[in-house]
Amino acid sequence: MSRFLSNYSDTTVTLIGFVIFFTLFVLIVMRTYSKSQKSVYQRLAQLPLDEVKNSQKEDAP
Amino acid sequence: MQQEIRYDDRIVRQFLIAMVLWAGVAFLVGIWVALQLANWKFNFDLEWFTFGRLRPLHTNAAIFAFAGNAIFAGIYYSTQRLLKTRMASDFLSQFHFWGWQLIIVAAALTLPLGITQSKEYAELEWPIDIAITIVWVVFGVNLFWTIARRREKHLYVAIWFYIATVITVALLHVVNSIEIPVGLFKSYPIWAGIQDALVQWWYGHNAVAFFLTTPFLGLMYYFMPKAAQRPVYSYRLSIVHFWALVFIYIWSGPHHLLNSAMPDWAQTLGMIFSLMLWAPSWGGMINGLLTLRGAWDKLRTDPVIKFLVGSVTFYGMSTFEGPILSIKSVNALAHFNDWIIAHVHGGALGWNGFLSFGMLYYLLPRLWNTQLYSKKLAEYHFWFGLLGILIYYISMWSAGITQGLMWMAINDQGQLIYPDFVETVNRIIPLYWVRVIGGTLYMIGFLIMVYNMIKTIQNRGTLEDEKAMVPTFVSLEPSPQESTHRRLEGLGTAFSVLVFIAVFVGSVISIYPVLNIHRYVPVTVSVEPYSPLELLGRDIYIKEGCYVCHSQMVRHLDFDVIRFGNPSKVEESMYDRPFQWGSKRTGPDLARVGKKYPDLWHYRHMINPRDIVTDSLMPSYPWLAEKKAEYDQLPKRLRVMKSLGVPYSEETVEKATEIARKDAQAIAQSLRDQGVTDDNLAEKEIIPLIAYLQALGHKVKGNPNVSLSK
Repeated sequence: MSRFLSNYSDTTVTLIGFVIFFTLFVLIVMRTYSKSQKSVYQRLAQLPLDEVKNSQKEDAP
Repeated sequence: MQQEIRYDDRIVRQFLIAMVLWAGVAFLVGIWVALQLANWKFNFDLEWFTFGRLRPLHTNAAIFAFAGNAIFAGIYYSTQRLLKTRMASDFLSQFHFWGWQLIIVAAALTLPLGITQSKEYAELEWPIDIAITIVWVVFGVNLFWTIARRREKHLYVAIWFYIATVITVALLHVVNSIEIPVGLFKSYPIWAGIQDALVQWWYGHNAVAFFLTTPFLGLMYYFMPKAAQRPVYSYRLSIVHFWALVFIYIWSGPHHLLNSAMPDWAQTLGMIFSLMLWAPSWGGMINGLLTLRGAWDKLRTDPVIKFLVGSVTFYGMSTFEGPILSIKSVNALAHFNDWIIAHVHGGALGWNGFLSFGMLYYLLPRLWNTQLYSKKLAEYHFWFGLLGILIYYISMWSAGITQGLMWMAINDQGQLIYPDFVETVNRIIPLYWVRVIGGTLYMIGFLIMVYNMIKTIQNRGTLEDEKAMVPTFVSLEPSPQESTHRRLEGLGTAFSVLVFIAVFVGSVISIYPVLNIHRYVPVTVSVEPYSPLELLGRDIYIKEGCYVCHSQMVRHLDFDVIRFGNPSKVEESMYDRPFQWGSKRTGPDLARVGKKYPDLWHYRHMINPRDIVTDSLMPSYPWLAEKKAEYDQLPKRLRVMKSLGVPYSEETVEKATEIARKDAQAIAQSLRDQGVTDDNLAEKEIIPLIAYLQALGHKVKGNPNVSLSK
């Protein structure tokens, strides 16, 4: 553990960490923006507005 | 099949009213402390009302009382409607409400009394820390229980932000508040020096992130579409915004410790991640503003939209400025002065304040079943508030940059152009008065809102919980056709675990190595622990909130070194519980003040600073020469310190009171020899405090050229 910690700021470790996290980020973005998801997210975006149909007072005042 | 349910609107009304009450307190104390900085006489020479004690009251009231109650009001309102179910337990909701108000009252009583841990935004002592933990757990249980009972399969993005808030605030509070009690109102943290500094700013920075940002973003994602009557501009962007923000924010704490004795790698880590925050923060801001596409005309007529747009705009400004301030060279200019104060208030008054007010104007007519008394007054509120923030922001920005440049100014001979610290303070006092004007305008706007609110409530209709038709049963099981993230956001527990992992990974990587610094850096110097008398003095220093105006961290910057002395090293504060590196210099740094002046200088300076430094802003502390120090508590305090690793001998612990009194007699005698007339001087608080100040910078033995810092 001491050896690991003493090399903690080593640039190789930093680079590996960066590659892992950046790859993960790119995958999330690709997945989120894939065309097949479009209709799903459009429906989810409507959730706060959906309540209006179910509620008595939402638009009242 | 549908069934009728009623949402719990009573709890929302309660939190809204509490929000307004505590906002009044926070703003009023804010103006008061602003006056104290413009003219020291506003300290009134009373110990309960000095800047050192009131400033923590102001910050705690603004963050946890005003913003806290605003968050809870918004969360309780939107969660029920987004999940199409009533809160799981009315009892837990009420427990949360009354428990939180009790905590605020406890804070309002203890902070002016000097009962504090001196850790910024975590000043409250251990019994209140335990109460916060219990109330927060109750809130979390109620929220997750409601999520489990929901009648809407998918969790809207606002709910994700609430989940991240609950989980991360719990983690931050527990880790930063691990302390050993030494009495009902006194404790020492288990972390010391650099470890305490890093844990504290991991907490402090992320209190801003997960108490003042993520829940408010959740509210933005709910109330912006509601007010504009349009779905959020890009739901996809909100997903990327959420995960990027939650993952990146947690790493950025070390940017509060740039150019300090913190290891370089940690400083660089904090700086890089702060710069990376630009992207998700602006992604969120753009998403919020573009939600108004096609509805910008409402900006002219709808006060709710006005406040929400103002709020998101200030969010954009603050999150643009924050990363800039995290660049080491910019931070060298901005840190310890009023530029940071400007930055903080742009976020607090603009982002948090305006969003809370926009939400209030949206909820008032709906919760009290009536119409808003006056849109015109709401408009006035907006313009008074906006003008107040701008005046505040510009004045403090100017004050900070002016003072920062004066601190940095060095002539051709390598000498400071403004060697007297007080000169750099007095130069900006006119701007402190301008700040008072800004704060007062904001307060006037707030009072207009209170009047509007009272008149609206006076015209209320029947108060009843809102009815809604919801599905009788909704299967929460994921279906095989669903995408990974869509399935995930339908699984509250799995989603929460992922959020926890995201914040946990960043936390461990950024703070774990520093918590173990002794395991991999060879120690070549020895540090003498504080004597019993010095420790007692240190506790008085903490009680009076001296850290609010005085840092104990000479940065690795030429102009700091020329002004104050050798740069601070990690080992110097290795026994400091809590650390006292500070975050603001309204007065000079004290890391090297030990033995710089005689005891009599300190005595006279404490009784009346103007006797020594004519233009000083510092409050007078006459009670220090009247109140008796708690010598009898010393054995208990030293024993706790010893249990935490401070190398006190058993004999020192047992005879701590005796040793301290003996040391105090020597200081008291020397003061009497120089004309101070008080036969019982050794028993007074001022003596241990002088002993502590004289010890600063004189505790390191051995080879001072080899430092743990590098």
